[in-house]
Amino acid sequence: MRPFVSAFVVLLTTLTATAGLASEPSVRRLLARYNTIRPDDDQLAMYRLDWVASLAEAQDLALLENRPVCLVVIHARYGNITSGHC
Amino acid sequence: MVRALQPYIVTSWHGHRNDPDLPEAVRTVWQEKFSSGHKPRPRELKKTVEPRSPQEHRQRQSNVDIAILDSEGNVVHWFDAFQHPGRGPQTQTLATYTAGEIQFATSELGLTAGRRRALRPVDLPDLAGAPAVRILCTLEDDRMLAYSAPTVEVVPITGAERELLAWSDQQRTVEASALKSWLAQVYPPGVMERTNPQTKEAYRIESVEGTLTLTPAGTRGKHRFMMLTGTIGLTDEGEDYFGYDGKLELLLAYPEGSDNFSALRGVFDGIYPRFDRMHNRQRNIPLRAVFESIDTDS
Repeated sequence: MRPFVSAFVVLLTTLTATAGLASEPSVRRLLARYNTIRPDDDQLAMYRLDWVASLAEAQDLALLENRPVCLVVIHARYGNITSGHC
Repeated sequence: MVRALQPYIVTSWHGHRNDPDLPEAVRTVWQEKFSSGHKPRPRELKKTVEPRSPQEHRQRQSNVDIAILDSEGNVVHWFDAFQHPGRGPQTQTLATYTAGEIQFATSELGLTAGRRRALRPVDLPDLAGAPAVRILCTLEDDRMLAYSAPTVEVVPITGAERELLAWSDQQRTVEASALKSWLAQVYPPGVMERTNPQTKEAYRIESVEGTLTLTPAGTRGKHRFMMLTGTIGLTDEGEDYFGYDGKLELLLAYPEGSDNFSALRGVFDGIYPRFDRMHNRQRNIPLRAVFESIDTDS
C-alpha cells in the first residue's frame, strides 16, 4: 500500500469541480451519490493499521524496525481479512 | 482499538493444526489453547466474570486468536478474539476488550501504552502504481453490524476494458459481463449462509448479467465525460443460484485528445435478500458500492 498519487487527486478534483458546474444533472447526481455512499475514514479505520501481507514479511520488518507484531490467527482454511471478504 | 494498535505491524494467518508449515508463533498459541484450557490474564476479568470451568472455557472458544509477538517473534501475549465477557451487568464491548488486551501486551513489551499516539492516515489497498479500480462495498445491515463493515477490493484495469469503454460521441450498449472483474467484487463480507461450508470462504460472484448504456455526458474544460448506466444481476457460485441485482452508474472522464478514460467514479445501489430464520421471512438489505479509479495516469 502507498499513499494516493497526486494525479489521482487532481482527477478527483476535476471531477468534483465539474459536478458543481456540469450541465448534465445526471453527472451531478451521480457524484453526489458517490460522496454519500463512499465510506468515511471512521468506517475505514482498519486501514490506519500497518498491515503487511504475511507473517514472514511481518517478522522480517519487525526485526528491521525493532517493532512488535500483532498476529490474527484464524483457525480455518480461509481467512483473508485484509479486503473484509472473510 | 485502532489507536492501541498503532505501534504494531499487523498481519493475519489462517490454517489448521495439522498443517505441515505451522508457524512457530501459531504453534505456541494453539499448544496453550488446546491443552488444558488457556487461562486469561487475571486482572480486570476477575472483576467482571465468574471463573469458568475448563469445559465451559472450551465451549466458548472461537476460531480466531490474536497473538502479540516481540520483534524477535516470541509470543508475549495472546487471547481469544471473541471470548470476551460481553454479557451481564458489567458488560464490555468486544472493542473495549480487544483494546484492553492490546494495551496489556503493550505494557508487557515496555512500550509507552499511556501516551496518545497519532493515528496513521487511512491507506487503502492499491496495485503498487498500476492502473486499477477500487471497489468499496457496504451491506447496510442494522442487525449484524459486523456485516456493515466496508469491503475494499482492487482489480487492475485491462486493455480490453479500456477499449470497451473508449470515448465515442454516440450512445452504445455494453454487456455488464465484460466488466465482470470489477462488478463481481460487489458482494458483502462473509455472510454466514453464503459461505462455502467446506472452505468457509464467502461464495464469489460467478455471473454478471445486464445490458448497460454508455452515453456521452458533456464536457468541461479539457475533459469529456460518458456515463455507463443500467441494471445488473449478480449470481454467486453457490449451488442454489442465489442472486441479487441493483442499479449501476459509472462516470468516465476522458482527457482531451485521448479515447482512453483517465478517471472513473461510480455507484451501485442494490438489494441483498437475506432469509431471517427467526421470523421466517426475507429481509431486503441495501447493498451499496462505490467504484473509483486509482493510478490511472501512471
